[in-house]
Amino acid sequence: MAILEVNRLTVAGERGDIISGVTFSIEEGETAVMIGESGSGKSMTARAVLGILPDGLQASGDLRFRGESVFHMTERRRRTYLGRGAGIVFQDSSGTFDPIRTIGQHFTELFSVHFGLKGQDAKQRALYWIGRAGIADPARVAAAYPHELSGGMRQRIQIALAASLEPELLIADEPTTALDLNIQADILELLKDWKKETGGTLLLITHDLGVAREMADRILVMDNGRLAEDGPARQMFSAPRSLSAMQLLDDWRTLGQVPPADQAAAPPLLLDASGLSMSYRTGGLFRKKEIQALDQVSLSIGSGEIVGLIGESGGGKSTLARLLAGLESAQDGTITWHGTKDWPDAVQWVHQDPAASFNPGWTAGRLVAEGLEYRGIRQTEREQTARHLLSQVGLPPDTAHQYPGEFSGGMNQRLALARTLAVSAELVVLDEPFASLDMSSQARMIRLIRSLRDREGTAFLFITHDIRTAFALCSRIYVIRHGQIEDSGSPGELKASGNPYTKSLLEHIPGRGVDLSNHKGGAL
Amino acid sequence: MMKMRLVILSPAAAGLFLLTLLSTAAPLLAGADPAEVRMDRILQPPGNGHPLGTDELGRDVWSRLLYGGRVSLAVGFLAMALSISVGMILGTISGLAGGFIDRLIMRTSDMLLSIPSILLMIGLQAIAPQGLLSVILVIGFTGWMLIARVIRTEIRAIRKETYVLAAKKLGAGPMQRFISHLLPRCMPSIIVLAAGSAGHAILAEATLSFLGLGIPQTIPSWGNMLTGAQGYLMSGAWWLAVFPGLCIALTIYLMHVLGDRLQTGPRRPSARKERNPHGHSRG
Amino acid sequence: MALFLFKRVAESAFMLVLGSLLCFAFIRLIPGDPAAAMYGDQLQKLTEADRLRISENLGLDEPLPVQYIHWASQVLQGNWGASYLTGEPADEVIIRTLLPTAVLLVASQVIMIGLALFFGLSSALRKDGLYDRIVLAVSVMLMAIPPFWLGLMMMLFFSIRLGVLPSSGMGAGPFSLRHLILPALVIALSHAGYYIRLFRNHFAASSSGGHLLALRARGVPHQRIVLAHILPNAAAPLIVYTGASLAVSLAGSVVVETIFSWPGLGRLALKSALAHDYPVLLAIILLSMAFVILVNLLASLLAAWIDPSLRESGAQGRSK
Repeated sequence: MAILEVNRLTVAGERGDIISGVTFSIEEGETAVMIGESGSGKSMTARAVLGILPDGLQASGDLRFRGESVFHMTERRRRTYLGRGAGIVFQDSSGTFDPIRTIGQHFTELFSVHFGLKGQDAKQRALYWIGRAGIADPARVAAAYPHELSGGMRQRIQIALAASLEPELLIADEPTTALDLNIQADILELLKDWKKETGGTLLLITHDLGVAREMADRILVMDNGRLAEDGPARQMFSAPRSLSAMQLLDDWRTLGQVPPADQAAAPPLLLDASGLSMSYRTGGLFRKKEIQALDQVSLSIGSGEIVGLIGESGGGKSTLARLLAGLESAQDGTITWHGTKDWPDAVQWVHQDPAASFNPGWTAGRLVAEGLEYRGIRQTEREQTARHLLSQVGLPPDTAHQYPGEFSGGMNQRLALARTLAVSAELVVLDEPFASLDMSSQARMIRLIRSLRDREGTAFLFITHDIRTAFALCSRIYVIRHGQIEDSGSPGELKASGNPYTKSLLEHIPGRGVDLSNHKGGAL
Repeated sequence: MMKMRLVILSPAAAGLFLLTLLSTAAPLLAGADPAEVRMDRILQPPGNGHPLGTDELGRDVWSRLLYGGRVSLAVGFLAMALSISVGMILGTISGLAGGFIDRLIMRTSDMLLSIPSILLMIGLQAIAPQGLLSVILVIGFTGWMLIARVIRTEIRAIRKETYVLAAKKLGAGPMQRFISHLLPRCMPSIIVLAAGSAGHAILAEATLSFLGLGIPQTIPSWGNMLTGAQGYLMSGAWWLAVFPGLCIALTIYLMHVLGDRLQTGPRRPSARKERNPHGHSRG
Repeated sequence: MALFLFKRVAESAFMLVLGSLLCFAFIRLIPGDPAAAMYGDQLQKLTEADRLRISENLGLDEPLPVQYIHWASQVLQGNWGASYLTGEPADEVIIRTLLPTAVLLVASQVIMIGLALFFGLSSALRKDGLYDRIVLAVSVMLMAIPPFWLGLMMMLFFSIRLGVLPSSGMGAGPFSLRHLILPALVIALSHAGYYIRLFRNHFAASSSGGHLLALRARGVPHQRIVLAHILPNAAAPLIVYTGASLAVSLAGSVVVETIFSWPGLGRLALKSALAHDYPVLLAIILLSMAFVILVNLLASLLAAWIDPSLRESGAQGRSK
C-alpha cells in the first residue's frame, strides 16, 4: 500500500512554478531516492510534503499520507503528522538546532509535545535514542550544546531526533552532503539500520548517484521542477529512459573514471617541498593545547601535473594548502620552486568557497582581472583579457557585467579559476573545490580542469576529502592523515595499496560494490 | 551607486534640503530682524504681522526660527563631521592594530559610553569657554564612540574576509587592499552613521542650549529659543515652545528616515545570498 | 564560564581605571587652582599657611602619577571634597538625591522595557505587515522628539490645558504616583522608540532561524516555538541592551528632572554645572559611571548564563 501519494503537485513562487505537476507515490517499507541537480526541486518537494514551504510559495495539487489529504488536515492533526507520521532530517546540521538548548533538551521537548512524557522518563528515553545513534557516551552528549559537537555527530543526533518519534516515513534531505566520506558512510549505515529495525519507509534526497546506488529500491529523477523518471533502481542504472537520467549517469561515470596513466617521462620538477612542519596553539588563558598540524611532510609537483591530496577534515590538508599557496610560512622545512628558494606568485589559490573570495561589490569582469589591476595594467587591456579568460573557462562574455552573487556554485568556481589564469599561474592550489558542488557540476569541472591543463600547461594541486573525484582527476595522489603523508602513488597504485587507511577510504565510496542484480525493487 | 541616487531623490532628503535652503535664505524670508527688541509687542500670539508670534522681548519668532536654523544645522553638521572623523580614525586604528591598542581604544569608548552623555557634555562644557566653537567641539568629541565601534567591527570582519586574503595573494599591497576593499565596504555604514550622528548632534545642541550650557543667548538657535519657553507656558504663550521644538523634531525625524533608507533601501543582491549551493532556491 | 567571568570583571575594572584617569585629568583642567577646585570659596578665607598646607596635602608638588594615586585613594575612602555652594561634603549632598532618582529611573525603565517588549514582539511577529509599519513609523517619530520638548508639551497638555497632573516636584510624602507619572513617562517615551525598533529587529532575526523550521517540521506548536525558542533566544542580547539603556535613561533624567523640578541626581548635576560646583559634579560623574559599568557587567554575565555560546567569544562577544 502506498504510504505517500503525490498527485500533480505544483509549487508556485513569485517568478513562476518551482515544481510543476509532480506525481509519484511511495510504497510502505521501500527506500525511494530522489535525485537531481541543485535547483531541480528536490528539497522543495520534501518541504511541500511536510507543509513547511517558505513564505510566498503556494502548493497545489493533491498530497495524501495513508490516504488522508495533507492539505486538508486540521492544525491539531498536522502536528501529529509532522514528526510522528513523517519525520525529516535536514542537510544543514548546525542550523537546525536551537543554540541555547542542550541536545538532551531537544529530545525531551519533542517527547513532551508528542507523548506528554516529562521528567526522568523523558530524559531516560533521550539517552536511549542518543545511544541508538551509535554514540558511545550518551549522557555527555545529552548535556552538550549543539555548537560543541562535530558535524557528523550533529547529523547522527538529527537522525536520532527524527527516529525517536517513531515516524512511519522518514525524509532525509541531503543528509550526507559536505561530510567526510567515512562519516557519510556511517550516516548511510545508520539510516539502513533504522530501516531494518523498524521496517519504516525512507525517502532519501541526494545529488550523488553513488549514494542512490547504495541505498535505493526505487529512484525518482527530478529535473527542473519536473519528475523526469520514476522506476526501480536497477532499471535506472542499466537502462535509463530519460535524458536527465542519462546525463546524471554520464556525469557519475566521469567521476568514476580513472584517467590513463601518463606514459611520458616524468615532467620537470615545478615545486618540491620537504620536511614541512607546522603546529598551532589553541585554547584560552589556562588550557593551552598544541596541535601538530603537519609533521615532516614532503611532496613534489611536476610542471603541468595534476596532483591530488586526500584526507579527512582536520588531517592537515588545509594547512598544507596554505603553505604551498604561500599564504603562510612553515615553521620547519623548505619549499623550492624550479629548484630555487625564490617564492613567486606564480602559485595561485582557489578557495573552497569561491564566492567568499570575491569582493561582493565587484563585477565578474573586474574580478577576473583583479590581479592585473594590482599590477597597474590599463583598464581597456584588462577588460579585453577578462573577456578572453571568461570564454576560456566556459562563461559567456556578458557575465563580465554581472555580480558573482547571482552565479551558481559551479560558475563561481570557473570565475575563480579564470582569475588565477589572468596572472599566468603555473600552479593552482584547489582547496576542496567540489565540496559544495553537485555531482553534475563536479563532472563538468573535472573536464574543465583537464582541458586547462592541456591548453595552458598549468599544474594543479587538488585538495579533497573525496577519493572518488581525486581518482577521476589526478595522475598522482598523496594521502594525508594526522599531519603525515600516509600513502602516495598513481590511482592504480593506490587501488592496490596495502595501506589500511587507503583501503578504508576506498571502502567508503558510496555505491561501490553494490550488486544491483540482487537488489529488490518495489515493495518488500 | 543606483542606491545613492534613489536615496537622494527620497522625500526625506528633499525635506532636509528644503530646511537647509530656508535657513540659508533667512535674510530674504525673515520679515524682521531676529535681534530687534520691541518691548511694545512682547508675547504676541501668532498672526498680526508676526506669523508665529513674538517672544518675551518682542522679537519675531518666525525670523528667529529661520536664523536659528542656520546655527542648529551648522552645529549639527560640523559636530557630525568631527564625530565621524574621530570615530573613523579610531575605529580603523583599533580594527587594524588589534592587541593592546585595540583594547585601549575600545575600553575607553565603553567607559565614555558608560557616562550618561549629558553629564559628559555638561562636564566638558563646565570647563570649556562659552561659545559656538566649544559647543561644536564638545558635541563632536563626545559622539564618536558608537561610530568607532561599528567601524572597528566592520574593519575586523572585512579584514578576515577571504576576498581580502585572495587580493593579497593576487598581489595587492596593504594600501591597495585598504583602498580597494576595506574602505569601500565601510562606506555604506559610514553614511548611515553620519545621518544618525547629525540627528544626535542637533538634539545635543538643542538640549545643551535649552539647559543654558550651549549656544550663548545672543545667537538664536532652535535650542536656546526654548530656554525661556517653559516659564511662559504657564502664562499661555505656547507658541514659544511649540515651533522651535517642531523644527528640531522634524529635522531629526528626516535624518532618521534618511538613515533608514540608506540602510535598507534598494540594494543589489548580496554575494552572500548563495553561500550554500544546495541552498534551496529550488532544489 | 569562570574564564569569561574573570575576563569581564577585569575588563570592567580596566574601564573604571580609565574613567578615574579621565576624572583626574578633568580636575587638572578645571580653570584655576586645583586647591580651589577641592575647597572652593572657603579657600578665600584661609591664611597663606593653610593654603600651603592644603597644597602639600594635595601633593601638588609631587609628580602626576603620585598625585593620581593620592587622589584615587581619597576617592575610594569616600572623601569627595566639599560642595562650593553649601560647604557640605559632596557625598552627603548626593546621597539625598539618590532615592528620588532611583524611583524615577525604576519607573521609567519598567515603562520603557514594557513598551519595547510588547511592541517589539508584536510587530516582529507581523513583520512587514501594516501593523509593523505603523509601529515602526511611530517609533521613528518618538526617536526624533527631544526629551525636554516632549516634557514641555506633556506639561502643556496634561498640567496646563487639562490640569489633571502636577507639573513639578515630588509631592508630599515619600511617594506620589500622580507626580511620578509625567516625568517617568517622558523619559520612557523619549527612549522607547529606539528600543522598540531594536527589540523588534532582534525578535525578527531570532524568528527566522533554520532551527525554527526544524521545530515546525517536528510538530512543535507555534505558540511553544514563540515562548520556548524565539523569546529565550532573543533574551540574551536584549538583557545586554537593557543594561546599556541605563546610561541613556540617566542622561534623560538630567533634563527631565530639571523641567519637572524633581529633586534628584540629574537636577543636582545641572545645578552644579551651572554653578561651577566641581566637586559635586565630578562625584556625580564618577558615581554614575561606576554604577553603569557595574550594571552592564551584571547584564553581560546574565546574558552569558542564558546563552552559553556567548561565553566562548569571551570579552569580544559584546554586541553593540
